[in-house]
Amino acid sequence: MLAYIIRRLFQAIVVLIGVSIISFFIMFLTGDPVSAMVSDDWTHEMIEDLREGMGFNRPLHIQYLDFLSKAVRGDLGVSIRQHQPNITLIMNRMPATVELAGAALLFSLLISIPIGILSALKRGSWQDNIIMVVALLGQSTPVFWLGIMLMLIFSVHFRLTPVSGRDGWESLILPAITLGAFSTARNARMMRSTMIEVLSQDYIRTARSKGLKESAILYIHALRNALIPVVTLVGLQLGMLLGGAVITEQIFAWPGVGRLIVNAIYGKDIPLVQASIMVIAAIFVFINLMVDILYTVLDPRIRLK
Amino acid sequence: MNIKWFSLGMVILMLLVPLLTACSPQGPQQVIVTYTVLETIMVEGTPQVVERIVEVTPTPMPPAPVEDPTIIVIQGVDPASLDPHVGESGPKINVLIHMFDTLFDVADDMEIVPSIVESWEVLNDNLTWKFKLKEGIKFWNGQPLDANAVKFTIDRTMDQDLIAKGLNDPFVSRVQLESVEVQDEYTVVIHTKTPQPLMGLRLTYLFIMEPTHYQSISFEDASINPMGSGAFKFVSWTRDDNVTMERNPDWWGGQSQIGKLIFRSVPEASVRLSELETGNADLVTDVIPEDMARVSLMPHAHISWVEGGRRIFVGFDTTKEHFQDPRVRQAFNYAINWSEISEGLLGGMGNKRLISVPAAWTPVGLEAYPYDPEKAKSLLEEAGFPMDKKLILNTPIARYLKDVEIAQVVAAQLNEIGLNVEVVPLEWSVMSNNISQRTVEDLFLLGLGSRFNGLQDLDSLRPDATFNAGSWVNQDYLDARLKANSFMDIENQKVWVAEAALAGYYDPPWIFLYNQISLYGVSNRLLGWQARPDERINLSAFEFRQ
Repeated sequence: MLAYIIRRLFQAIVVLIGVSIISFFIMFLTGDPVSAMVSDDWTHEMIEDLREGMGFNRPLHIQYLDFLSKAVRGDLGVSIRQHQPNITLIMNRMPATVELAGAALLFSLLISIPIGILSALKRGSWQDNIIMVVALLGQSTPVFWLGIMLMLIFSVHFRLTPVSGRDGWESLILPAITLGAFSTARNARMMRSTMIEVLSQDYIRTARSKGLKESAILYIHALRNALIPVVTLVGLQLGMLLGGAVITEQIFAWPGVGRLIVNAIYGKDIPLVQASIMVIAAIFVFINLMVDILYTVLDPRIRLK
Repeated sequence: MNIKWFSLGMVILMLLVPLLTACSPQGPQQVIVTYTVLETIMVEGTPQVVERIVEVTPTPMPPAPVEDPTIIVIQGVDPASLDPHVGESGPKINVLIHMFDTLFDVADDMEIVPSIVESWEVLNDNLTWKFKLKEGIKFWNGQPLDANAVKFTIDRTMDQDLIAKGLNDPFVSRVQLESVEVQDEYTVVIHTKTPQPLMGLRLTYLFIMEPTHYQSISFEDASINPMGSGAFKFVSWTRDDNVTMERNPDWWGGQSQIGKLIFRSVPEASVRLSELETGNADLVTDVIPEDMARVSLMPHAHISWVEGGRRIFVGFDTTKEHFQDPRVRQAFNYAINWSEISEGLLGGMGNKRLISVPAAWTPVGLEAYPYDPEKAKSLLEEAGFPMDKKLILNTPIARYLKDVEIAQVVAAQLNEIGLNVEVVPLEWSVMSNNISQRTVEDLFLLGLGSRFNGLQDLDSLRPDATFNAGSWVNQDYLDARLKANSFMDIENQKVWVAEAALAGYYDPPWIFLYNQISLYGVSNRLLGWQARPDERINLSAFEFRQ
């Protein structure tokens, strides 16, 4: 187990280095960061002075090595637009993103697991049909459209929830539903599939023949095994959600990491973009590792391999 | 149940949802009052009293006054920093003008007027500016706003350590500063290397900062911890959410009627309007023309719009041989049917520009290029323009109002006279890079801000100006510009600015389009507030109507 974790940590470091290289050089391919900071009447001389002052006139590989050497010491640089340490800016936004991601995930699990189980138990029935069609629609519906529709109906027409912003638990409802809709649909379909597969296993037939209650068979024997792939999926979703739900945050003006990154990209705030990508990659890698470890806890057969 | 039919039914239901939403009342309907009047009319010489039904849409009335009202303004973006010396953007300036004072201000009619300056003199061959400040003005922490504060503010823009960290205020370059000195407690003297007829305008962007406060905090803290003397005191800033300010009871300009002022940032235009509709915003910016009808249905809100200063045009890369003949560029101007663009994309708003400087500075009697496709064709023929040459027109995406759409119509109109123009939209970061490097394509759509001063606007087409991406050069223009800058009085400046602009009219650097319109959704609580051409939102001295 320890050797497995060490091996995964090493892989994580390699991934992070690769991500840093790609994110650094891609940002510079999209153009000059300084030109995005100046107004119409700046002369070339003024722009060059600013470029030199900010160190953007150095060779790219020198700039990258400078960035990397600071990153390994925990210094992810300073935003060239906001003039705050990047890690501070990211961590200040993280609570909003965690709140939104957590709420979306909770919504997703509370809906998807029960309806996935129901759908599996009622396989082929009209309940199963409804659930699967709704799930399909949930996965097909564009997030942008769903968010705007929910806003128009519940915020503007019925005045039940705030329109936008982060101000109290009520303002979390619509963004969480918008963000969680896709994963709810996918998790429900996955839950149904795995449940059907598990319920057809020999040990389930054995449990029934031994006279166990159906509820015991379902929740003690079947569900735990059926949840394993769902856990993996949910773990990956959590990593993606924490990376910043860009579209949802833009629609609902949610002050999270997603908006931070989008604004940094538009403003050519290269140090902030790089730092954000590094942090998100690190979160994603960490969550993946945790999911893999959790997997071995849920399924001892994997531990023995 | 047949899954196929069931699925089809669910799809139809999902498609009906937006229709139901659209058909259902969007909110309170516009109120129409109906009443009956009695009139006396003559029928065949005999007076008769008849009834007449009259329908009236009442003029918006302000709601009942509230003590210490909170006003919420929603813009599209958040300021990146609250440090006046870091970056310039409209949304940021809208926040700063409430928290800081400047020596001069821009009035609603775009005139430069003194603010905290009591009097001033220009001496020494127009190289020395002596300003006498109003006495008794204090910062929020009680420190006096005096000559030292002004000198500190200017000196800070030259601090090399801070510049290395990212400070980038171009005040010193713009005014060609030689030095600044404190003559006495309320007298500050600015020495320049060359005469600065635009000094007043430059000083409207110099937000006076409190020395002891800014000397005691780090550069990073200065971005989030402002100390000014303005009509409102800083309370808090949640990034990408809101900047909250409260009334400064000691402001020299008198207590604001607004108790609390909040600037929020909401990226999506439709969401900003939803906030206005639900009464959660008092003023929202950047309304698109198509949404004017939606605002008109809100009985508690209205639209305020103005022709702004941003000059939208299509520039020519004049380094390319096929654009070097002025007749070619005149022809492109004649080929544009502006009314078609305005009616089709801008709700009929926006007037065609004729020149690169504000209307008040243009030669009298000069008209914008009329739509004359036949003249365009004949000019191109005279100049021997290769009609089959493929021309690329770059446009930014969502940088300006309807930028891509306008570019597409311009290209279509040019193609109607036999040209071969293709529109290639570019992400702004890429396009701004091309512009600053002067690696633009044949044609490029751009918008340049204006300070509503002809002298300032002439700078846009200096050979070394960053946004003169087409490398346009005209010696008559440059000579007239130099001449205009040698005068301190506006009347002489106007004469020579007009000369320069005329040179630019007959040797056009651009296809002149229009000044971008600015549309605002405004709550009736702010009845009387008018949109400004410079896009500033200043509520410091706003008076509520009763």
